[in-house]
Amino acid sequence: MSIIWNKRLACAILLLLSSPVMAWDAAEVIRGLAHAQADAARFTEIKYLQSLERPIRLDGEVRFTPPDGMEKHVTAPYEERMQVTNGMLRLERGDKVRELSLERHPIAQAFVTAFTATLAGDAETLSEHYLIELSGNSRAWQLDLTPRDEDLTEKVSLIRVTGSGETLQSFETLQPGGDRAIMYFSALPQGVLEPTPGSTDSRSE
Amino acid sequence: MNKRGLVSLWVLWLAALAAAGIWLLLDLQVRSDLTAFLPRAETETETLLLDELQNGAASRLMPIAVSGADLDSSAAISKHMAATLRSDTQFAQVLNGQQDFDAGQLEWVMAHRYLLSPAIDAQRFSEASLREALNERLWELGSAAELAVKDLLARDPTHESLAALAQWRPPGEPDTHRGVWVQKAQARALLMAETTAPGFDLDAQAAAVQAVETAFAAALAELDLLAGETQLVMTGPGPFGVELQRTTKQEAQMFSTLAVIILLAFLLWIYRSVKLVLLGGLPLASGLLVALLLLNSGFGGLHGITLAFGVTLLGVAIDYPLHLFSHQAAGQSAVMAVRNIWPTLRLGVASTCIAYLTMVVSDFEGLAQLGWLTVAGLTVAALSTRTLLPLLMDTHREFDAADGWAAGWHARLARSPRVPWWLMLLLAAGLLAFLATRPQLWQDDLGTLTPVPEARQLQDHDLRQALAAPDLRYMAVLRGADAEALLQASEQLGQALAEPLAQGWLAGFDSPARYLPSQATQRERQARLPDSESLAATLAAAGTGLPFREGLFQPFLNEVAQAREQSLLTPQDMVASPLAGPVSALLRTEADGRWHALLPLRAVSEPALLQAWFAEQQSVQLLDMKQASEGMVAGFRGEMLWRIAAAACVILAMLLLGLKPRRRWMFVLLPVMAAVLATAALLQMAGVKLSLFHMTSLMLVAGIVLDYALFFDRPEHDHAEAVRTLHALSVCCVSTVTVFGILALSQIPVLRAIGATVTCGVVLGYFLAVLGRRQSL
Repeated sequence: MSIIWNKRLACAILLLLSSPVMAWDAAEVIRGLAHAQADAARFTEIKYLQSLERPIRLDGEVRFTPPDGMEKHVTAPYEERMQVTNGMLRLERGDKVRELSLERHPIAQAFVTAFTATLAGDAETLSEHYLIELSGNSRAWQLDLTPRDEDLTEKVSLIRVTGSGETLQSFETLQPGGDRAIMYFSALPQGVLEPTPGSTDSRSE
Repeated sequence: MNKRGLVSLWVLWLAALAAAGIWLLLDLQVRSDLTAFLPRAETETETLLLDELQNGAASRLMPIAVSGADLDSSAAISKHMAATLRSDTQFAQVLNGQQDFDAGQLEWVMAHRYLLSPAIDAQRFSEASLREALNERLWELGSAAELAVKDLLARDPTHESLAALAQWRPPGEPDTHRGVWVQKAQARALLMAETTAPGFDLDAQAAAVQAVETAFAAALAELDLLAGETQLVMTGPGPFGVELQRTTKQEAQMFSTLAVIILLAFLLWIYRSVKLVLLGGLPLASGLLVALLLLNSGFGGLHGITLAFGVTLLGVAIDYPLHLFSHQAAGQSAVMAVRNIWPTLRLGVASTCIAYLTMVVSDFEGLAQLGWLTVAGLTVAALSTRTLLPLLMDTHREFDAADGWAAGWHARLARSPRVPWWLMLLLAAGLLAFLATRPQLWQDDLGTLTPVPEARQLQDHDLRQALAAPDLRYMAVLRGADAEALLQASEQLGQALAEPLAQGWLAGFDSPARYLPSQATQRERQARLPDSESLAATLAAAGTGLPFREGLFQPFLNEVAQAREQSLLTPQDMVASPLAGPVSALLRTEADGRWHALLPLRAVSEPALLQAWFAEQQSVQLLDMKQASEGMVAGFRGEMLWRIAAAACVILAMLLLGLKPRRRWMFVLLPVMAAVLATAALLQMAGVKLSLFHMTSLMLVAGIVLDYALFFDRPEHDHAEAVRTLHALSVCCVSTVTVFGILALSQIPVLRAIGATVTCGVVLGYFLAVLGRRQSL
């Protein structure tokens, strides 16, 4: 632990020395998010999975419930609610309810921690669990979060958060096998979906 | 005897005692299991019952509650402890709501999922059913559940492994918080540990309890929690037994030390001679040591409870030297004095021993040992009082019991009215009639033999309810020649039980077939697996229009093909499986090679309906553990009563032979009977149901009071001798009341029962013997 800490410290010092003109750092970006986010945000999520020929598209609304909970309400192509409270994940679709403990599902846990800590502007918790790398500039920044837990890196290789100023733009989870999911909180960039998402239509039957 | 002879007798006696003591220290095997206090089984049901009580899952379950400062820290403690205890071989399993199958165990389930999944019906691999499954998987991939089920997708798209796992999840799980079982109102986390050792193996249980305590302390240290704000509660037969043993030992030691000190002070004050008081301990010590040596070699060890009770019951032997001390007149030699009292003493000892012989033939091995211990101990104590003790006493002494306080007490008692024998008979008969008509005379609940404080029982009840642990009172029992027949019968019974489940008076049941389906069922499931080509074709048709990648489900096709050739699971295969625990608990072989299956029923709200329902079923027996165990205790008690009656007849015969004139028997026996019955009646009126412990205590009372009555009835007395007799009996009575009165102060129900019964009986007996005297005192 102390070695890692020292490395981080060294990195931080190097960063400071090498870019003395930069007035902002990762912690500041993250803290900025805390007061900038609206209560709830619309999102579009695109999932690229190795097992599927076409990506999946989901639309809905996401809400952060401090300190460490969240709600994700999918409205299309079907209705689904996901709720995280007290370390439990509750999933509802129609009359089907599933509950899982985050502890038993480290990937879900990693996602939830990264998501809630980012939205809470909690740089400390975030850097406790992830190595943070900032790139870009204050108008278009990118935070790369690499799990510190080695067991977790086998499941989640990287979480990438992008934004502009105090606005969160996307949240991407990359898995080692090549599976990835991106949530966009603004208009979709050109060409992320090709072909157009028809893949999920069959499930609305 | 000359001085040299005297010294060598002292040396020899003490050296023999020391040698016996050292031998015992090195060789005495004290067993701590309680099973010796359970009766020997006579019927099939009793065998089953005892087997369940001793080895069944019920006795090995240990519900645990941990509380930290808040729910979060309680949950954290639970996780830490579970991790520690799961790696401990003393525990068969530790459940706390976290994932209870590790990766290797899950792989075992995966490998056998097509034999174990209850979801495999005739339609399971049809196109419609497969399409439904694939759509379901697609939804999961889109949802957050993706992360949980992704790894299964290619191998097990129909989720047979999850269907198999779901049926083993305990019914009615407690609430969870941060992934572990909790009771929110009490802010505590719940765990259920199952020890590998049976609950009655108290040494192993003590080690297991210790392991839990250590794990708890380690969790606190790891989490930086203060011991003051945390709590650990363990219940179940194991921890209760360990606690009982611990507290009984502590209390017995404390109380006996206290009793000995008070008794020594009292005797020193009475006899004014250190030497006499020390001598008074020799017969008892000799009797105890010789009896222990005999039992240790005869039974190959001794039960802890036998030891504790035996020492208590042998306490009567302290009376023998006291009779001698009080009866030695001033100037009279001790040898003369002992000759005077010996016929009376001998009759008393012989009668008491006969009474204890009724225990020797007891079905309870512990009681049989207790019987032998007291018979051997009392005989040795009496014989050493007769032969060796007088040699060591002063030949001539100043002290004469006839001169002291006893004379005044005698004058006072002599003025008391004499109750004629027929009135005493009437009293005894009245008491007997009173007792015989009491509806709640006997306590046959086996639980009271190993009594647990009520507060702890409530804790246990509360925890079991929260954990939805089986109460294990009602069980359906199936018997058969082989496992397959039983598993098929279990499956049929399981289907039939759907009816009471639907009617609501049965909340659930467990069955061995849940963990190991019969070969027939497995074969049926296997036969439903399509061959590779047709499955591939159906799957392709089912997946039309769905975005699954080409060839994704090849592992699924391969594994189904393998499963079609797979050998079926047998009971032997289960031994090395993650389901070994439940299968071995519910499917058992008996000594004669026959098998039985147990289906524990949970939360039965209408026992009458249950009985009626089972009466209609073929070849299945409903076992009510409570009723069966009470029946067993009642049966044993009935037998014991007959033996006591027989013992009473033998004592009567001995009195008729030993007493001249013959009619003296009633002046001796009637007060004894009245005292015993009156004590029982008093206990009843105080709301106490009589248990085996009370019965044993009453036998002790009978033995002691018989001595009193015999001595009061000695014909060969002048006034001084009568005063000496009263002195002896008063000292004996006060000694007994001191020792057992102190025992009655104990917190342990058993010790308290014995103490109160004996104290009450001896005091009653003393005065009844005075009132029922044949002659003037």
